[in-house]
Amino acid sequence: MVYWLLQRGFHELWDRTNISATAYDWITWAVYICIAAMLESPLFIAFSILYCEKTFTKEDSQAVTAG
Amino acid sequence: MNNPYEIGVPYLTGQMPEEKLTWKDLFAKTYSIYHQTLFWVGLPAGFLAYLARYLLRPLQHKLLAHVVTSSPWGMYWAWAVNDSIKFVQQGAYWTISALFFAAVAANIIRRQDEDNRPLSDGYSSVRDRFGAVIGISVLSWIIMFVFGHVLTNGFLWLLMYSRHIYPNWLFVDICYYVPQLAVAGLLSRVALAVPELMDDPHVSLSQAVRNSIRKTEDWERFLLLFC
Repeated sequence: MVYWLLQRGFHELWDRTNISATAYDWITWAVYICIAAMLESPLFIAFSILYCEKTFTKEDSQAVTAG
Repeated sequence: MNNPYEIGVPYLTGQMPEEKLTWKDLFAKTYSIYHQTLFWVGLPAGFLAYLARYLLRPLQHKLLAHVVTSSPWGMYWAWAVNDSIKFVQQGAYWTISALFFAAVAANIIRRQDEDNRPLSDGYSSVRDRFGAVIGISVLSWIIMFVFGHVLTNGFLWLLMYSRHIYPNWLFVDICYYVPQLAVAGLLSRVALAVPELMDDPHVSLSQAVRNSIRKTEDWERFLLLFC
Protein backbone atom coordinates (compact mmCIF):
# COMPACT_ATOMS: atom_id res chain seq x y z
CA MET A 1 0.00 0.00 0.00
CA VAL A 2 2.82 2.41 0.90
CA TYR A 3 4.69 1.63 -2.32
CA TRP A 4 1.50 2.05 -4.31
CA LEU A 5 0.77 5.44 -2.74
CA LEU A 6 4.36 6.53 -3.39
CA GLN A 7 4.11 5.43 -7.00
CA ARG A 8 0.93 7.47 -7.49
CA GLY A 9 2.60 10.45 -5.81
CA PHE A 10 5.62 10.19 -8.10
CA HIS A 11 3.39 9.98 -11.16
CA GLU A 12 1.72 13.22 -10.06
CA LEU A 13 5.15 14.78 -9.48
CA TRP A 14 6.20 13.80 -13.00
CA ASP A 15 2.97 15.06 -14.57
CA ARG A 16 2.77 18.38 -12.72
CA THR A 17 6.41 19.53 -12.52
CA ASN A 18 9.33 20.05 -14.91
CA ILE A 19 11.61 17.65 -13.07
CA SER A 20 14.30 16.06 -15.26
CA ALA A 21 14.25 12.32 -15.93
CA THR A 22 17.62 11.83 -14.20
CA ALA A 23 16.59 13.74 -11.07
CA TYR A 24 13.26 11.88 -11.02
CA ASP A 25 15.06 8.56 -11.20
CA TRP A 26 17.51 9.40 -8.39
CA ILE A 27 14.80 10.80 -6.12
CA THR A 28 12.32 7.97 -6.58
CA TRP A 29 14.91 5.25 -6.07
CA ALA A 30 16.30 7.00 -2.95
CA VAL A 31 12.80 7.20 -1.47
CA TYR A 32 12.06 3.56 -2.31
CA ILE A 33 15.31 2.46 -0.61
CA CYS A 34 14.46 4.51 2.51
CA ILE A 35 10.96 3.05 2.66
CA ALA A 36 12.38 -0.45 2.25
CA ALA A 37 14.77 0.24 5.15
CA MET A 38 11.91 1.51 7.31
CA LEU A 39 9.48 -1.30 6.51
CA GLU A 40 11.38 -4.41 5.42
CA SER A 41 14.05 -4.54 8.13
CA PRO A 42 11.41 -4.19 10.87
CA LEU A 43 9.37 -6.87 9.12
CA PHE A 44 12.32 -9.25 9.50
CA ILE A 45 12.64 -8.28 13.18
CA ALA A 46 8.92 -8.83 13.66
CA PHE A 47 9.16 -12.31 12.11
CA SER A 48 12.05 -13.15 14.43
CA ILE A 49 10.19 -11.93 17.52
CA LEU A 50 7.09 -13.80 16.43
CA TYR A 51 9.20 -16.94 16.04
CA CYS A 52 10.56 -16.50 19.59
CA GLU A 53 7.13 -15.88 21.01
CA LYS A 54 5.67 -18.93 19.27
CA THR A 55 8.61 -21.21 20.03
CA PHE A 56 9.76 -20.37 23.54
CA THR A 57 7.30 -20.31 26.38
CA LYS A 58 7.50 -19.22 29.98
CA GLU A 59 7.37 -22.90 30.95
CA ASP A 60 10.48 -23.55 28.83
CA SER A 61 12.27 -20.82 30.66
CA GLN A 62 11.24 -22.12 34.08
CA ALA A 63 12.31 -25.64 33.12
CA VAL A 64 15.71 -24.43 31.97
CA THR A 65 16.17 -22.32 35.09
CA ALA A 66 15.11 -25.20 37.35
CA GLY A 67 17.33 -27.63 35.44
CA MET B 1 17.29 -24.75 20.29
CA ASN B 2 17.95 -21.62 22.28
CA ASN B 3 15.64 -20.12 24.81
CA PRO B 4 15.77 -16.33 24.55
CA TYR B 5 14.24 -15.85 27.99
CA GLU B 6 17.12 -17.77 29.49
CA ILE B 7 19.98 -16.59 27.29
CA GLY B 8 19.16 -12.92 27.45
CA VAL B 9 17.78 -11.80 24.12
CA PRO B 10 18.05 -8.02 24.53
CA TYR B 11 14.43 -7.09 23.95
CA LEU B 12 13.07 -9.73 26.28
CA THR B 13 15.49 -9.77 29.18
CA GLY B 14 13.46 -9.67 32.36
CA GLN B 15 10.21 -9.34 30.41
CA MET B 16 8.67 -12.75 30.19
CA PRO B 17 5.24 -12.49 28.63
CA GLU B 18 2.31 -13.06 30.92
CA GLU B 19 -0.27 -12.45 28.23
CA LYS B 20 -0.80 -13.32 24.62
CA LEU B 21 1.29 -11.31 22.18
CA THR B 22 -0.69 -8.52 20.54
CA TRP B 23 -0.10 -6.54 17.34
CA LYS B 24 0.78 -3.48 19.43
CA ASP B 25 3.39 -5.41 21.46
CA LEU B 26 4.96 -6.80 18.33
CA PHE B 27 5.15 -3.39 16.62
CA ALA B 28 6.63 -1.78 19.75
CA LYS B 29 9.30 -4.46 20.22
CA THR B 30 10.12 -4.51 16.52
CA TYR B 31 10.73 -0.78 16.13
CA SER B 32 12.55 -0.63 19.45
CA ILE B 33 15.16 -3.14 18.23
CA TYR B 34 15.23 -1.56 14.79
CA HIS B 35 16.03 1.94 16.04
CA GLN B 36 18.54 0.73 18.63
CA THR B 37 20.75 -1.39 16.42
CA LEU B 38 19.61 -3.02 13.23
CA PHE B 39 18.96 0.17 11.26
CA TRP B 40 22.74 0.55 10.93
CA VAL B 41 23.18 -3.04 9.75
CA GLY B 42 20.69 -2.46 6.96
CA LEU B 43 22.11 0.86 5.85
CA PRO B 44 25.12 -0.48 3.86
CA ALA B 45 22.88 -3.01 2.11
CA GLY B 46 20.55 -0.16 1.16
CA PHE B 47 23.37 1.91 -0.32
CA LEU B 48 24.61 -1.11 -2.27
CA ALA B 49 21.13 -1.66 -3.69
CA TYR B 50 20.98 2.04 -4.61
CA LEU B 51 24.28 1.94 -6.49
CA ALA B 52 23.62 -1.44 -8.11
CA ARG B 53 20.62 0.00 -9.90
CA TYR B 54 22.81 2.52 -11.70
CA LEU B 55 25.32 -0.10 -12.71
CA LEU B 56 22.72 -2.56 -14.03
CA ARG B 57 20.27 -0.21 -15.70
CA PRO B 58 22.42 0.91 -18.66
CA LEU B 59 23.24 -2.75 -19.39
CA GLN B 60 19.54 -3.61 -19.31
CA HIS B 61 18.67 -0.79 -21.73
CA LYS B 62 21.43 -1.78 -24.17
CA LEU B 63 20.39 -5.43 -24.12
CA LEU B 64 16.72 -4.58 -24.72
CA ALA B 65 17.57 -2.18 -27.56
CA HIS B 66 19.71 -4.89 -29.17
CA VAL B 67 16.94 -7.50 -28.84
CA VAL B 68 14.23 -5.24 -30.28
CA THR B 69 16.29 -4.31 -33.32
CA SER B 70 17.84 -7.71 -34.04
CA SER B 71 15.04 -10.19 -33.30
CA PRO B 72 12.32 -11.07 -35.86
CA TRP B 73 9.78 -11.29 -33.02
CA GLY B 74 10.50 -7.71 -31.96
CA MET B 75 8.36 -6.59 -29.02
CA TYR B 76 7.28 -10.09 -27.89
CA TRP B 77 10.88 -11.19 -27.63
CA ALA B 78 11.77 -7.93 -25.85
CA TRP B 79 8.92 -8.55 -23.38
CA ALA B 80 10.27 -12.04 -22.61
CA VAL B 81 13.84 -10.72 -22.24
CA ASN B 82 12.67 -7.83 -20.08
CA ASP B 83 10.80 -10.20 -17.74
CA SER B 84 13.80 -12.52 -17.60
CA ILE B 85 16.04 -9.60 -16.63
CA LYS B 86 13.50 -8.55 -14.00
CA PHE B 87 13.40 -12.11 -12.68
CA VAL B 88 17.17 -12.21 -12.22
CA GLN B 89 17.60 -8.61 -11.06
CA GLN B 90 14.76 -8.53 -8.53
CA GLY B 91 15.50 -12.12 -7.56
CA ALA B 92 19.00 -11.00 -6.60
CA TYR B 93 17.52 -8.28 -4.36
CA TRP B 94 15.10 -10.84 -2.91
CA THR B 95 17.95 -13.27 -2.14
CA ILE B 96 20.10 -10.56 -0.57
CA SER B 97 17.09 -9.60 1.56
CA ALA B 98 16.69 -13.24 2.65
CA LEU B 99 20.33 -13.36 3.74
CA PHE B 100 19.85 -10.08 5.60
CA PHE B 101 16.72 -11.54 7.22
CA ALA B 102 18.75 -14.57 8.34
CA ALA B 103 21.40 -12.25 9.81
CA VAL B 104 18.73 -10.26 11.66
CA ALA B 105 17.16 -13.47 12.98
CA ALA B 106 20.54 -14.81 14.08
CA ASN B 107 21.22 -11.58 15.96
CA ILE B 108 17.87 -11.67 17.73
CA ILE B 109 18.02 -15.36 18.59
CA ARG B 110 21.68 -15.56 19.36
CA ARG B 111 23.42 -18.05 21.50
CA GLN B 112 24.72 -17.13 24.90
CA ASP B 113 28.35 -17.59 23.90
CA GLU B 114 27.82 -15.25 20.99
CA ASP B 115 26.23 -12.46 22.97
CA ASN B 116 29.28 -10.27 22.61
CA ARG B 117 29.58 -10.82 18.88
CA PRO B 118 29.45 -7.46 17.10
CA LEU B 119 26.56 -6.76 14.77
CA SER B 120 28.99 -6.31 11.90
CA ASP B 121 29.78 -10.03 12.28
CA GLY B 122 26.10 -10.92 12.04
CA TYR B 123 26.48 -12.76 8.75
CA SER B 124 28.91 -15.37 10.14
CA SER B 125 26.15 -17.59 11.48
CA VAL B 126 24.27 -17.28 8.17
CA ARG B 127 27.10 -19.15 6.44
CA ASP B 128 26.21 -22.35 8.33
CA ARG B 129 22.69 -22.42 6.83
CA PHE B 130 23.55 -20.65 3.59
CA GLY B 131 22.13 -23.38 1.33
CA ALA B 132 18.82 -23.65 3.15
CA VAL B 133 18.33 -19.87 3.29
CA ILE B 134 19.10 -19.56 -0.43
CA GLY B 135 16.74 -22.49 -1.07
CA ILE B 136 13.76 -20.92 0.65
CA SER B 137 14.58 -17.58 -0.93
CA VAL B 138 14.68 -18.94 -4.49
CA LEU B 139 11.55 -21.04 -3.97
CA SER B 140 9.54 -18.11 -2.60
CA TRP B 141 10.84 -15.76 -5.31
CA ILE B 142 9.78 -18.14 -8.10
CA ILE B 143 6.27 -18.38 -6.60
CA MET B 144 6.10 -14.60 -6.11
CA PHE B 145 7.32 -13.83 -9.62
CA VAL B 146 5.15 -16.36 -11.43
CA PHE B 147 1.90 -15.73 -9.55
CA GLY B 148 2.41 -12.08 -8.62
CA HIS B 149 3.89 -10.81 -11.87
CA VAL B 150 3.84 -13.11 -14.91
CA LEU B 151 0.31 -14.48 -14.53
CA THR B 152 -1.13 -11.13 -13.45
CA ASN B 153 0.43 -9.34 -16.43
CA GLY B 154 -0.61 -12.19 -18.72
CA PHE B 155 -4.26 -12.01 -17.62
CA LEU B 156 -4.28 -8.22 -17.96
CA TRP B 157 -2.89 -8.54 -21.46
CA LEU B 158 -5.29 -11.32 -22.48
CA LEU B 159 -8.41 -9.71 -21.04
CA MET B 160 -7.67 -6.06 -21.79
CA TYR B 161 -4.78 -4.99 -23.95
CA SER B 162 -5.07 -7.72 -26.59
CA ARG B 163 -8.67 -6.50 -27.15
CA HIS B 164 -7.56 -2.88 -27.21
CA ILE B 165 -9.35 -2.14 -23.94
CA TYR B 166 -7.43 0.37 -21.85
CA PRO B 167 -9.12 0.88 -18.45
CA ASN B 168 -8.16 3.71 -16.09
CA TRP B 169 -5.05 3.44 -13.93
CA LEU B 170 -6.93 2.65 -10.71
CA PHE B 171 -8.53 -0.45 -12.21
CA VAL B 172 -5.19 -1.61 -13.63
CA ASP B 173 -3.46 -1.00 -10.30
CA ILE B 174 -6.10 -2.98 -8.42
CA CYS B 175 -5.84 -5.86 -10.91
CA TYR B 176 -2.07 -5.84 -10.61
CA TYR B 177 -1.40 -5.20 -6.93
CA VAL B 178 -4.21 -7.12 -5.20
CA PRO B 179 -2.99 -10.53 -6.48
CA GLN B 180 0.58 -9.54 -5.54
CA LEU B 181 -0.55 -8.67 -2.04
CA ALA B 182 -2.43 -11.96 -1.75
CA VAL B 183 0.61 -13.96 -2.86
CA ALA B 184 2.88 -11.99 -0.50
CA GLY B 185 0.46 -12.65 2.36
CA LEU B 186 0.45 -16.38 1.64
CA LEU B 187 4.23 -16.49 1.31
CA SER B 188 4.69 -14.69 4.61
CA ARG B 189 3.24 -17.79 6.28
CA VAL B 190 6.54 -19.56 5.58
CA ALA B 191 8.74 -16.67 6.76
CA LEU B 192 9.30 -18.06 10.26
CA ALA B 193 11.27 -20.86 8.59
CA VAL B 194 14.25 -18.51 8.34
CA PRO B 195 14.57 -17.79 12.11
CA GLU B 196 14.05 -21.51 12.77
CA LEU B 197 16.83 -22.43 10.33
CA MET B 198 19.12 -20.00 12.12
CA ASP B 199 18.08 -21.26 15.55
CA ASP B 200 18.14 -25.01 15.02
CA PRO B 201 21.11 -26.30 13.00
CA HIS B 202 19.49 -29.70 12.53
CA VAL B 203 16.05 -28.76 11.25
CA SER B 204 15.41 -29.47 7.57
CA LEU B 205 14.04 -26.86 5.20
CA SER B 206 10.75 -28.71 4.68
CA GLN B 207 10.26 -29.18 8.43
CA ALA B 208 11.00 -25.50 9.07
CA VAL B 209 8.43 -24.51 6.43
CA ARG B 210 5.79 -26.80 7.96
CA ASN B 211 6.49 -25.41 11.45
CA SER B 212 6.28 -21.87 10.14
CA ILE B 213 2.87 -22.43 8.56
CA ARG B 214 1.65 -23.86 11.87
CA LYS B 215 3.07 -21.01 13.95
CA THR B 216 1.65 -18.21 11.81
CA GLU B 217 -1.95 -19.31 12.21
CA ASP B 218 -4.09 -16.31 13.25
CA TRP B 219 -1.35 -13.87 12.14
CA GLU B 220 -2.38 -13.66 8.48
CA ARG B 221 -3.98 -10.19 8.78
CA PHE B 222 -0.98 -8.74 10.60
CA LEU B 223 1.41 -10.17 8.02
CA LEU B 224 -0.73 -8.86 5.15
CA LEU B 225 -0.75 -5.41 6.74
CA PHE B 226 3.03 -5.43 7.19
CA CYS B 227 3.66 -6.78 3.67
